[in-house]
Amino acid sequence: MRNTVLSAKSLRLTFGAITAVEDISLQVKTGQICALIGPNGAGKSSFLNCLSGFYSPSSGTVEFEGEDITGLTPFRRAEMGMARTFQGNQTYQSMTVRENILSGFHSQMRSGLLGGLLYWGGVQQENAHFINLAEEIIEFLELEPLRNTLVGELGYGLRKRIDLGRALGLNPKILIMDEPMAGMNTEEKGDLARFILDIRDARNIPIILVEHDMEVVMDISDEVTVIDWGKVISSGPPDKVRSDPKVISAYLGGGVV
Amino acid sequence: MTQITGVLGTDPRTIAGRSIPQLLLERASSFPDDTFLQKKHFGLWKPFTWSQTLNMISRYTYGLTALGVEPGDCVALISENIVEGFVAEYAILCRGALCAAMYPDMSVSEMEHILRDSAARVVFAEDQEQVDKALTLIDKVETLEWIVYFDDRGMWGYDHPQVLSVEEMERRGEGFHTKFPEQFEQVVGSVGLRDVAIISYTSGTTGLPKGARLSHEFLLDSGYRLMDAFNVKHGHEYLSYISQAWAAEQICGIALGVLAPMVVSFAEKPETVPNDLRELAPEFLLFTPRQWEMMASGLQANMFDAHPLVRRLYEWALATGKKHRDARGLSSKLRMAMADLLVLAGVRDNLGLKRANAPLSAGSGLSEEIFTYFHAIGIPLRNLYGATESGLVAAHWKGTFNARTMGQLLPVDPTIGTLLVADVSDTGELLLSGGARFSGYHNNPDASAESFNEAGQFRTGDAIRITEDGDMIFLDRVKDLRTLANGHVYPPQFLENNLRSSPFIKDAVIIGDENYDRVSVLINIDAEICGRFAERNGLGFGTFAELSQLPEVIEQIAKTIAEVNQMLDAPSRVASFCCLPKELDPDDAELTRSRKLRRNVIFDRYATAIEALYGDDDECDLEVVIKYQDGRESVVRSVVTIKRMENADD
Repeated sequence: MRNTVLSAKSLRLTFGAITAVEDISLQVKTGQICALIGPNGAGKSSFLNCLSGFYSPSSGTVEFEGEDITGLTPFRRAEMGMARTFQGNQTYQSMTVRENILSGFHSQMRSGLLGGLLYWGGVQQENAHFINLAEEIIEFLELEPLRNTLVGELGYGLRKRIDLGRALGLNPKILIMDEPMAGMNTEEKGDLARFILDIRDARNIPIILVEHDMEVVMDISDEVTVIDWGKVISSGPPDKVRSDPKVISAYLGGGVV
Repeated sequence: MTQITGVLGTDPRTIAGRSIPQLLLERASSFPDDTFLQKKHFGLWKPFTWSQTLNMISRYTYGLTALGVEPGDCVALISENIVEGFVAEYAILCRGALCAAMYPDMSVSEMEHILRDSAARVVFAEDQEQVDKALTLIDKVETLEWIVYFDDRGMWGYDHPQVLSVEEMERRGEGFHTKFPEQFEQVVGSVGLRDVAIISYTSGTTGLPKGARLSHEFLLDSGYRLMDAFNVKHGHEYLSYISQAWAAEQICGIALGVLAPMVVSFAEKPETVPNDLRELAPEFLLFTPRQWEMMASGLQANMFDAHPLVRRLYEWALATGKKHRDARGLSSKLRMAMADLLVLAGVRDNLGLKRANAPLSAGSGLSEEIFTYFHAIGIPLRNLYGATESGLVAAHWKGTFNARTMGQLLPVDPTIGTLLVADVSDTGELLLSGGARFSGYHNNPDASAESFNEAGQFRTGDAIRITEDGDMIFLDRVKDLRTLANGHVYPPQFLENNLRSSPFIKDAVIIGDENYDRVSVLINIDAEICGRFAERNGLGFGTFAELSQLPEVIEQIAKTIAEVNQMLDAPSRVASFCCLPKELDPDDAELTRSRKLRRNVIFDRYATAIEALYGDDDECDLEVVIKYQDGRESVVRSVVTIKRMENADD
């Protein structure tokens, strides 16, 4: 029996008179890749922001590992083990690949500024410990040849991979990815899809994926939830969703048959 | 000269009757805490001592026993160079079994041939990719029973009764270890020096690869030859980089690793080799000519991006290094010391060749340009000649480094006894005897019998010439030699390759077969280099045709030909040549799109010139029809100088 890691119940989000999210519920279980799809403006990003705490929903609750976290700040949620990658690129260009990934561990590091300056025993140990963890991620994401390369010199696809590496540094219990494939070429998409599957299989981390590339979504997801106008119009395994007339109509336009 | 005899080695670390597993056990008990293998992991070098490695090998060996592998069986291996791959091979040898290693990029059908031919019962597969290939064959190849993988990444969802991880194999072996604790050493003790250790599949250019059976003695003797000739010391570092499927790695890594013994290191990933090489700076390394070329071109590409001032300094240092090779005086010494301090030492460090005292290039074909380039930097690059079936035969080890030769016969292990003897047969083929003997091809008695002549000499199939100094020059494969009208056999490709390595010459087309009694050549000059040469010397020219017929350019070409001629016996030398008045062009069907010569078209089109090369006139009128891209044709007429080489007969 799989445990529910994250569940959102009847979330609603309004900005004044505009209702961005009308009523969305979602359950994510361990070892699942849950894709969230929908036309532009359907409310996907707003919903994600409710999950990670950047917006607080007007009503409804978010539960993480059985605990109500609706009122918690984003950084508290991160500490609890919710990691998120964003649209576009959020890496430190002037730092090396390894330093970027190490920055993902900052919420777990205990030494302060003074300790860092003096670099005494405990700090050295802590340093070695996190470097080891970062190297595990480097190996996992096959970044060994680039570990000492400045991120600014790398292409977009690789930077997204490093972004993912940093999110893994949080040692997350769930990973939320907002359009990770946008702007990638086919090969980069293939690579990233492989890594997403490996994160699920080797690390057993459930993933919420917002993505526009239908082919990728249908290939790698275990569950697909389709949103339109702030509401869930269909959900289930990829094959079921693919043939749902409501989904076809939402994407192609026209009345519901 | 038609025969040379080698010498016996003097290094005391002889084989003395011990097979590879026996040497392994001995080294492990003599130096249990010294490092034997090391790998880069998580960005750091992780050492494995002899006792740790032996422990791993023993666990793998019992694992193989548990899988039912008996002495004399074959176990295959397909992996990049990693610690586990080496440990697996040593375990196979310690089990008294034969190892058949495959190149990691082999296709499924190539794998099928090797697995079937070697009747491998188990295959070690590095990772998911290799397991997938092996899985498609597990029902097709009847003998194959188990697939054992090293890296479990991506293997989480596999559930096949014949696929297991190496850890699982070790676990299954634990019971056998408890039940028969003596078995490991007993089997190792019974592995004889003359027993076949590996089946090395040679990449056949025609037909399917043949499996060469190589004994422990064969691998160790070749290893000894290198160790003695290049003074490989105990504890020298070696980066395992070339594939285990290649006999050279079996000799340098597997055999010499335990004989010297060396510290065998493994790079983190194939892509990190340049970096890892730099960190290690190994003393001993063996690359293919292609790998040396890539290293040189990588460096040159980096220099293009450098600051102009840095580039000038680098070029000055390189020129100084080149000059110093030819003229050694006090002032040259001083300049060289300066160049070394400012530039060359840094370059060597950057390439990871700071400590390399035996950097070897295996096989012929490394151009003289690259060879002298490395020597100018201060890297004593040497050629090494050998083949899977003949072992390592010759190398530059007596202090002379002529880029065009393969060096001198290597010293043989005195406990093996017989000296290497190289004979050149009437057909120009190199015949070898002495040292450890090739054990024949697997499942192929006909080919095995054919590889020795009646006198018991090994037929290399290589056309070789032996110089007055006892250096060996590789000419061609015997089957590529051509015969002149007077019955003389000569190496056309050797001439063409050596001529082409001159910057002035873009292509060379050798003429001379049963219809002619001399060798001649059509030269397609390199317009850019020759053009620059003409400009520097104040020579005027308008078209390619004019440039090609400038007396000074022809003189340069003649000089190059004379140099190449020096390497050959008189009847094989180029007697006459002319420079073509137009460039050979794929659009005119004279070359293929990949710039290979289309000889028939060329012979046809330049028939007048070829006739003149064998005539008495000093020039000829040549008419060539050329086709433009829009389909129009026009005839180009030019007067072509026929140049005869003066001392061709010396």
